[in-house]
Amino acid sequence: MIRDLSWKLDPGDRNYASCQPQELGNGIIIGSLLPNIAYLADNIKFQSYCDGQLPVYNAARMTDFSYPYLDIVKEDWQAYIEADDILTGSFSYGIYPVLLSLTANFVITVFLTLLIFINIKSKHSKYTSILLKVGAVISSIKIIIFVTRALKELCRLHDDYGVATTYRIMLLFSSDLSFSILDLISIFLLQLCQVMIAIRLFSRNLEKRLVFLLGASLVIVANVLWAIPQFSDVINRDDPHAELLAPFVYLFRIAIAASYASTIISYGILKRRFCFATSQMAILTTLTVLVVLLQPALFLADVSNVWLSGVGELFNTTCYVGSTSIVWEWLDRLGVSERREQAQSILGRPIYEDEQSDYHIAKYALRVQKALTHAKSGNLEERKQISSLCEARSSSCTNFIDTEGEITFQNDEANYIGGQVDGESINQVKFKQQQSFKEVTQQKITVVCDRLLYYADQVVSKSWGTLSLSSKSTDDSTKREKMVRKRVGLDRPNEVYIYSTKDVIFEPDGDIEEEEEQKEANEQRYHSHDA
Amino acid sequence: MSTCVVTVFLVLFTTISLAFQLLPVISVPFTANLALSRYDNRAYGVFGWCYNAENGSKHCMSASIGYTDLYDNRIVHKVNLPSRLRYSFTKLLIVHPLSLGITFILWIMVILVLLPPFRSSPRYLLIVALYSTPAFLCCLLAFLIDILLFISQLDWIGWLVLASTVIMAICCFLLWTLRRSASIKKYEKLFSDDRVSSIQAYSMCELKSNANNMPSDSTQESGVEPLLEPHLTYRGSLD
Repeated sequence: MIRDLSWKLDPGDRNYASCQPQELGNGIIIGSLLPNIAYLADNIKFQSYCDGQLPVYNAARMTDFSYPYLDIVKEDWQAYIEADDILTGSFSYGIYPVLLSLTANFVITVFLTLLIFINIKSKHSKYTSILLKVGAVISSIKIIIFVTRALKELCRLHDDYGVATTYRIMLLFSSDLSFSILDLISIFLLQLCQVMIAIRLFSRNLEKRLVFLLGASLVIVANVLWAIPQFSDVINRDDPHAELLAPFVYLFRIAIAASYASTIISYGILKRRFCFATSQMAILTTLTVLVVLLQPALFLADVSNVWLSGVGELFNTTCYVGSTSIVWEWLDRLGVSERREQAQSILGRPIYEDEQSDYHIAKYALRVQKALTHAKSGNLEERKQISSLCEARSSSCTNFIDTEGEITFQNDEANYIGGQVDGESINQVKFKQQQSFKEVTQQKITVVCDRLLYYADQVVSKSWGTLSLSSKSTDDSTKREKMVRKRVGLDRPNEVYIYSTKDVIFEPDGDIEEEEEQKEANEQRYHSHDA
Repeated sequence: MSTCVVTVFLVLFTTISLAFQLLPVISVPFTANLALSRYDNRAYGVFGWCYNAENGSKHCMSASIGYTDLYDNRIVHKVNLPSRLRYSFTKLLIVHPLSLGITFILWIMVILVLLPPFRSSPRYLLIVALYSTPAFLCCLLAFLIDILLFISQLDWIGWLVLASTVIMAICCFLLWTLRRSASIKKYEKLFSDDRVSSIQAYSMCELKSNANNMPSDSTQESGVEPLLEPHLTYRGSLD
């Protein structure tokens, strides 16, 4: 069952008499719904149609021949539309602004979805663009479903009661299960896209990782908490503690949106030179700022005017789609102009110190080299000692002494501790020592952290958060680029090799052919001998 | 701007933010004049509210989380929030003391940044910068709750929370900048003149020929390690 979102509304103690049964006395009832058209009845009671204990007026055209409303209904209606209250029936709270908002949202969301499909290419940032496209499509479907159901509901109300009320339309937000599920999925995906966009704002790998981890966890927490009051039957609505969850999560979402807006705006301030370089960029920048600020602004409108709370929900989707697609385009253009300037400068692309922090592999290589140096200069007894130790702990030790007395290393990461190049000889590499609990724990934590960072690096920084520079490249250029990347060995950039350096001599093609011919001849000769 | 100046600014900003967040917490019913909001002869604070009677007398509820109706002899004064929300939602004001606590811890951490070993440690600065993010989020949440409950009837103390949020955002930005500069400094230290001058440079060809002629034990005695051409090396690529 879907929970309603009526926590924002306190109906107060206003009562309308027309919404209660009215004693009319004895008389004749005339109506097509009755078994006979006219009925003589005693103690007739009449209750006017109300929505949520609020008066509703006829939506049909009134003529001179129409039957007039009861005076009490007219009075209540007059009081309702004139009250200086948040629960008034003035024009701005009526059905027409709601219909206008609905259709406007519908058009904007579908238009933005189309733009996303046309404009955003999944060249480098494959996963993010897929996320964005899926999120936008679900949002469009959701809004199409909502508009259709709203119109059907209005049709039903008109046919049955001759009224058109906002109350029933707003109720669809919370009572429609399919709408709520689609809403949750689309917002979750679009919020993840926002995290990916935030990653693009940071240049350093470490910051990218942290933004991903922090952003993704915030998004997950926000959506799980959002889903609990929406879908759960476990929570008792009358429990004063449990009912706090819905407003808290609502505010939490707004806080995340405000943080996103402030991040984007601060980035825009830092890159103001590029933002206002051309008139087109200036317009796009202004649009971006407006779009990211729309959600916090809607919150203010929401809380200051309760009627807007429902429409705020509807605008929410449009805000999310806009604040991802428009910001994406803005960042693309900003990146292109920035890189164009970097290409013209002497220094080119900046490389950050974080990119080569820790030097794990370099330190490992140095350690191995140092060990080799020591071993070569050490005496034979020492080597034998190592050999005996190795035999004693053959499972963990992979070093061995070859026949010529030279120590060769195989890759044994277990012996490489902490990545520090200290003065310790290879002979003492922790063979005898039992590892303490602290060290083991530290190692395990390091492994977990490394794997987490590896995931963040591989999936987020390199696949999801990479800037798509040119969205207009042809297939030919992609193929050409792939070929070049493969040739220079960049098709597998994530692999790290440890290998022995040897001069690689490329033999001329003619020599290889001659060699092969010679080999074939030798083989033939060998076979003929066998025969 | 040097890191010292940035650190001083940081301490100043966090102190101001802390003071701004302290005011709502000590508002009514603890103090008479400070209130988050004043509406309909009522003054609202984080831990309670007070009713100002027309004869000048003042009745306050005992301090607790969330508002309750006020009983004055036989008269019941009901909570009348400007937003017309159910007053059970006032329990959300608990975020204010939470935010104050988080900001206080941040303030202590920032004060530690004044000490040179902490100031130059990128790892410590990273922790502080990371911590400042939820601190900012809490502060923002506290302001949003004020807005939700009191809307435009927010008193100047309530608006100070907005100022505090903005200051926290600036602190966040400064902390991340400080971390970057500390990281760069550490990196530059690796290539400082003192460090580089202590390393002796040899020609590889010369050393290769010497190493072939020299017996292995003599190098050990002389204390100079033979500089070998690396047997193992690595290749990595950065995107």
